[in-house]
Amino acid sequence: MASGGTLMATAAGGRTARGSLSVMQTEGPRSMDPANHTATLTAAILRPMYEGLVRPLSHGPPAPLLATSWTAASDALTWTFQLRGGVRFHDGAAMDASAVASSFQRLIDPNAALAGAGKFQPLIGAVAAAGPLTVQFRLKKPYADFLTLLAANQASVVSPAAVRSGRIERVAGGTGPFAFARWASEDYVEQRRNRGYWGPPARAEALRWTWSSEPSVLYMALRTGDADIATPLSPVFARRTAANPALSLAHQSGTAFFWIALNTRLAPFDDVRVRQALNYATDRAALVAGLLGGYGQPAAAPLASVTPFVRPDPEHVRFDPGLARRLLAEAGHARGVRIGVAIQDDDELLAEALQAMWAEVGVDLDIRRLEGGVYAATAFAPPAAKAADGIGGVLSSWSSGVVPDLQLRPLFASASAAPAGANLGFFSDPAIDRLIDAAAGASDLAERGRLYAAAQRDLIAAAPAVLLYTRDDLVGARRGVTGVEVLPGGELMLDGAAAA
Amino acid sequence: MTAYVLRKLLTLPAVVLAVSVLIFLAVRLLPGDPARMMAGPEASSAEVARIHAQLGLGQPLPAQYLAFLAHAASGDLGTSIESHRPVTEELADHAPYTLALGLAAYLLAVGVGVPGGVLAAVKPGGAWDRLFSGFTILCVSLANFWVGLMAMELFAVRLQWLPLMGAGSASHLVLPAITLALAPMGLIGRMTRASMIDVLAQDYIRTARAKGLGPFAVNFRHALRNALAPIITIVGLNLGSVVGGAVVTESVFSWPGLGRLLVDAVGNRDYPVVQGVALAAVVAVTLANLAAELVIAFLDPRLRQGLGDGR
Repeated sequence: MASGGTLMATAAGGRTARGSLSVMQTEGPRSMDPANHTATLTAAILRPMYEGLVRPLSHGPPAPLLATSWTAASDALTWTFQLRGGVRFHDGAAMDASAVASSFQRLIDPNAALAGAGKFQPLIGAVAAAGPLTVQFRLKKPYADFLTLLAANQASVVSPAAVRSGRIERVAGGTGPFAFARWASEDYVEQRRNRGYWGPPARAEALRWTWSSEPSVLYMALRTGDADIATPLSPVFARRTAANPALSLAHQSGTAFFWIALNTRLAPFDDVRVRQALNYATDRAALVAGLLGGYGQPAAAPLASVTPFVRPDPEHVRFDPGLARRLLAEAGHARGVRIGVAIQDDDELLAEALQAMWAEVGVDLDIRRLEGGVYAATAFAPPAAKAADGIGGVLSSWSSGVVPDLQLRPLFASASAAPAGANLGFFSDPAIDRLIDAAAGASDLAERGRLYAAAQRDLIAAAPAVLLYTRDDLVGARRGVTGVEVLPGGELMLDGAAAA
Repeated sequence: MTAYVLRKLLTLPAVVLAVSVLIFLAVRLLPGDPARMMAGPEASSAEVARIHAQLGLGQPLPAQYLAFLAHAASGDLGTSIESHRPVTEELADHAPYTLALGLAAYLLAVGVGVPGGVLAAVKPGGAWDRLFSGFTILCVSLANFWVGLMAMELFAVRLQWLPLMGAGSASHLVLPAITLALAPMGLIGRMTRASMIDVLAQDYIRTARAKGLGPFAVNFRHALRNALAPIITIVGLNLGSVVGGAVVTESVFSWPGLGRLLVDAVGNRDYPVVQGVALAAVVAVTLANLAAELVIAFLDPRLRQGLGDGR
């Protein structure tokens, strides 16, 4: 076994810095199969080893990667991708149209039961090779964010041999600038630079990934050099990292959106005035300052501030306890109302802050703090079960990446009502459903903007949820580490990263 | 003695079987749906239902238990839901780390606790006794995740004497082993002191001293041997708390043992792994308790005799 993560500075060659880069995250990988997970931190570990047709960028639409160009037919249903020639998987096999087609066929195969298939199965009807380096997708419905979806880690092109081996859960096989070396479970993942890489070689010689769920350990690891990069930092340790001259902090607006789904099928939240009142009773700026140390964005729309087409509405998403009291009085709760909200252990401080804020307007928040498994079962329970338990709301967080449809649809569309989806408060408004559908399929940018603005305006008015905040992505690094790219949502991209 | 050992050994399978029922039920009765946890929040309910069927979670509990037992009897503890590897493989990967950590912690706990307790008992109320008693109280009352974090901050970050975390060399073992050793060290130290004070008040110790035996011979050869039974009992019983402490300690130090595996498995509702680790822990603790009983019986012929008569 290799020793614990000290920097191995090997002789430099060429113009780039060489050496091993060690990264510590708060959880280990769920799998080495990009199609069989939905975790951001797993995606970060897999990203150096796998590539998709397109590469996500921290700003703007995806760039070419394994595909060099693409066209969408006029019906917006058929997409044709030209693949890069001369690319080989780490096992030596050629990356060609049949490999890409089989990779996506596996992803959308309902019998494969892959955890990362959720976004793709409802969308992709068929994938086929249309030439040695040409792949054609047939969509079930027009989807303007198709390319953004293809940039997700789950849409990586996996080696057919790695799939056939039956060991892809444990042994990664892709085309990326780093190749899988070792996964010592509960300990570390090691990746070595891919000597046969088609593109510019990675700057670091090797990547070593470790993990600890203890926030203070991430900070200690940065200081000892056990980690060159640590993410996600908690706000407390982000502040200390920023103040430490040997370390640097990268922070940017993130996609982790916090909200409380209000049970629209249960009194008092069947009354829109009560739902609006809670929104007005919430001092989001104080929550961000007090709980996140300022590392967050108060919500001003039902989308994260980095999501395209977000339309902040500070006039209607504002702190106004006087208005909250009036709305509650109009709804017949002048003398106060008691509500039960299910929360996870981690969100206890947030819930207590809300409890104090809402008490000011006469709302008595009954915090139901639940262990992870119980919480998941409670959150996704159908209306009858929630009514029986008196669950008026569920405090939750959601990270959609940067696809507005992956936030508005699962959280607010009628068809996503729990237990089928994450519309945990059973909100249903056919007009908003139509807006969400139309916006998802609209290829004209201005038209999409108009539709998403209307959907957000209507959602703020209907108030199916208390909108809280988004957490910033907080990445700590040792001074001298360069080239680290952070995607919105906190996923690291390390192909250009190196230690000093 | 042989009959006694055999009889004790025969009770082992019964204990393990009984505990396996408890483990099986405890894991199943945990609220929360593993299929939902596995599928993630983006999954449709159809997908959750399919995973449910795949795991056989829809079957009645007795049927699930019998299937589990039949497989376990043939050495198959199932497949991890999370890693898709056989649970036995996971256990084999992680057990050596926990064994090394537990053994080191135990040697430390006994190596400090027993001599420290003996010396404290020689002069009750003396300087060493007061120091040692204070130390043992701290040992049993400090939470080991806190001790672990403080030790990391001091010895790994500030002084840089020892590695922060992970495994790989003997030096990686030092901080987690000390952290894990503290609680049993305190208990063993206190038990040794109390037991020794009792024995040292006995007439035969006065006789030994009157014969002119030196303090070492009196304290360690005569007194300690007679004080050992309760100490060994505590040592045996404490293995359970060491296994429990390993869960926390391994998580804090990112030590790749069974404890860390268990914490992750519980969080993910990875039933097969939780069952596997819990079963392994039960077998280990049962064996350790048996070993303690045998050692006591070996040291104390009265006990051996009494039990041998079939009381």
